[in-house]
Amino acid sequence: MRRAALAVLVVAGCGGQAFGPSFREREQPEMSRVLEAIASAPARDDAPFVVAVTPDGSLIGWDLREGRRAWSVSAEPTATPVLAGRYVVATEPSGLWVRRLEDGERAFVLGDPELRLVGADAEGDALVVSLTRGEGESPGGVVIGAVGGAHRWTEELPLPVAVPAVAGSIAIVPWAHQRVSFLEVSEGRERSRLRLEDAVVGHALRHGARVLLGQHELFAIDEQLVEGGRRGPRFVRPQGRPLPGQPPLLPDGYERRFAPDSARNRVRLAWALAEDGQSFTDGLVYFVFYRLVFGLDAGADEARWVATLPSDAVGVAASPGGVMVVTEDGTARFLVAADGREGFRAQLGGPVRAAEIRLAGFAPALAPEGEAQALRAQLERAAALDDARLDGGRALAIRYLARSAEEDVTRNLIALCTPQGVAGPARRAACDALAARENGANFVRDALRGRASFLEGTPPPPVGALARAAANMRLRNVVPLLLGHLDSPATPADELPGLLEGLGRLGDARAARPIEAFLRLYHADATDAREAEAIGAAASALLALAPDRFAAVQELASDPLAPQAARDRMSRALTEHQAAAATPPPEPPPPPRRAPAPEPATDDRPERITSEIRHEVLRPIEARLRRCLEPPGADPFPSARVSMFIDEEGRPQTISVMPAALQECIEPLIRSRTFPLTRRGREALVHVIRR
Amino acid sequence: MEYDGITPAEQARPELRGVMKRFGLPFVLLALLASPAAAQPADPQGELARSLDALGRQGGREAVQQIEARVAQGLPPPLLARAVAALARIGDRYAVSALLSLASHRRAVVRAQVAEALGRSRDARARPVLGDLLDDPDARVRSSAAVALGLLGPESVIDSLVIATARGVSEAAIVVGQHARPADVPRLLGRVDASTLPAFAPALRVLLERDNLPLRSKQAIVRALAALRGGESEHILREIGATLGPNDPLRPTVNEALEQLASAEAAQ
Repeated sequence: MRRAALAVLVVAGCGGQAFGPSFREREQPEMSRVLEAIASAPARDDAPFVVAVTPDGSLIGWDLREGRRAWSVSAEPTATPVLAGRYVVATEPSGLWVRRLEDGERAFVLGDPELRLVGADAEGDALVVSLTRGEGESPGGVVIGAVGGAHRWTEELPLPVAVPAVAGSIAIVPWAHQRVSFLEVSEGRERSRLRLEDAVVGHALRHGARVLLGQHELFAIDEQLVEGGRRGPRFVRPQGRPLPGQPPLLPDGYERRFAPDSARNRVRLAWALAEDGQSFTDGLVYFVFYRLVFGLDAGADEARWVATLPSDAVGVAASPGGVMVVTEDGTARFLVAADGREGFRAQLGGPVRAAEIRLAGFAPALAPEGEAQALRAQLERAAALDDARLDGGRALAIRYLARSAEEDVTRNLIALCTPQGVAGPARRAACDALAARENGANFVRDALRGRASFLEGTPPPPVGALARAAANMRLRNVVPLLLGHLDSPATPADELPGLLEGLGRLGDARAARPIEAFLRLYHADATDAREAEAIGAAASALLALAPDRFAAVQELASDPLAPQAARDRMSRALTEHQAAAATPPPEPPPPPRRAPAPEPATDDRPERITSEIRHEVLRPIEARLRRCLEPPGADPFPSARVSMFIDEEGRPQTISVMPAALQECIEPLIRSRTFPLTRRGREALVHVIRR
Repeated sequence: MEYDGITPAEQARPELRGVMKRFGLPFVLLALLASPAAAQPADPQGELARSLDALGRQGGREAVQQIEARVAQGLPPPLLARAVAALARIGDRYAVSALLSLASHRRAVVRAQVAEALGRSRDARARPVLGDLLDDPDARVRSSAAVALGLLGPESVIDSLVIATARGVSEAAIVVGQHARPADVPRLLGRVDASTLPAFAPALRVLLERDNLPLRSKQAIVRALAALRGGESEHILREIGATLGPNDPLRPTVNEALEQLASAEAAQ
């Protein structure tokens, strides 16, 4: 029955009016007229609303202003729905479904199961939807327009389209990564077009009287943009920082809308722009990581607060004053921007898998519960959560926690670094931070007195990080304790390099003999990489403490009974020692600081962009890149070589393609990707595309 | 002096033959074992292995010292195993001292091998070290240590064996059952509850079957089992009951305990 209804497709006004190959960009006076029309568009009057997908696939609409469920309809959404003006847009197995927001009932359906939702926007009666067709390697774009709840026109193009906006009677549609077309929303006629030369455009969004464009940052359509096709220096982007999952400012505007169960609903950034469109409200961006919500300083790598939710966030939207979060237990919470306390709560009436929230100026009457918790207590709570999925978020909390110079933070880090099963990012972050501590000597000493016991069920202390911390603190009196751990079979091999490094840096020559005994005893016994690393560390420590033992280490490094990895590692230690000895001595060290130095941030960024990372980042566009090797009407190219610089923000710059004929096709695709931030910062990469 | 162990080395390195004839086997072994980077024979590992075996057969303080010195110079795992085997074969007080120093070697296989050798040595000095090895991070070492303590007699470390039993070291349970004295029984029973009973069950079975345990200790065990009121304790009591003769002095206590369990079950 339903399928029969869907079979009645509305196909109107198809093609030919927009996205043509020969359109004159930025042509005046039409461009100015279009911008005037946008600027004079009436202010939006959207209803604050939540649309959620329930576990059984139903859609529910929740009216935030009235605080009640407005409707519930049976549906099979395959993408997280989009709230667009008076409509709810979603794809279902049968095609594109556009429902009325007021009652959840169908406005119209495009019964094309190959359509995949990209984005949608609406204003008043006018709706524009961007889609892709099919699952193919290089899906084309589809843009549809509707007025008064009825489909009016469809445009198909061989290039991808991105998330559109509507301002008055104008639809603003980004496409092909750097182009933006301005269409008459009632008929789909293209009135004007822009092409950006220095930025990728994956999103258009209306913000007050302006339309903003962007992907990695947001910028207004202004005079400079219209005249020169360049974004210019005025744009808004939060401070870059390593975050687990590294969610972008905006989802890739050219990728299909994520599924309701996608992790992208649970790991993402949320923010609201201030009126000027040049900054973020409350100076915050919100980072959602499953059950954790971080209020992050938009302009600095700092956390203002972190809230721990009872269940995963599946929808989030920010507004001035705070952030609304819908959790999978079906609760909408408004967390106050100032301290993360819960200021408002509503029950949606059952668990949900995904939620789309439109606050549209909704300002709940705030009554924050209880006393505001200090940031440190919030971070400690988040860091101590016992949930393997949250490990990345815990690591972030630990990174911020470790910035506190309070001595007892060292105790917290010792507890978090102590082995409790498989080591994940959180433990690594804690151990890195502990290894960098410069105060809390009593806690370090006490921890080193501990020992592993099977019978008592106590894990081994994290002696590697403790030894490094002890070296920072110049705690020579812990050397006997460290030597005890060096002798103990309960000390895990992973801890030995840190332990030996600490002993070497402490500079107590009494440790040289036990270290040499260790090195001799185990140098031929290091059968795995961790043991070989420990042997290398022992050689380095011995050479640091007793340079006259150089020949002894040389002898061991040439022992044919020793595994090659251990010999190589000892040889490296010898080479490094020689190089250090050849380096002129540094200037005398400055006098010890009186105040404890701020803790260096733990850094979970990769050292550099490896080929695995490069392939992972480029994988989503791999098929499209390959298609570039087959230009229409020309012989295909067997391969292309792409050289690029990745800037400090992970964005590809100075992209050069050989053969040059493929530059135009490949460059925008590469520009659409963002690489993870690395310790190295700016990097040159070469990527070869083969058919 | 037997030279059979060196024969392959002689074949491999004819130049050693004269040295051996002139100075004897120890001198040759010393040359072979002296330094890790000494003059390299064609098959250094093979020659070292044969030398270690020969020293094990030779025995005596000098051989132990040579083995000990070579171990301290570092050996790959197969040769280290040969060295420990040689010390175990020697088994005298010098060898035991050398083995004790290897009880904290990083490789668990070595520690397990050392524990076994110490058990066979019957040297009382090994007892505290074996007690420590019950707390080893590796299960193989804990098991070997428990078995070794069974051979050596666990008198001073019975409490460690009881804790190891509670932590699931099954070999420790058997040793506890075999060696616990009447005075140890109350402490042992103090650790038995519903959660640890499966781990202690082998110890309790062995204790109840022992001829040299006083009746009152056995009765205490039976009453403790009855107090636990579970399927496992009933199972143990029935097993014990089946092995007792009709006039065994423990039988009335077992019967009473089983009746107590039955009535408790009926009441539920």
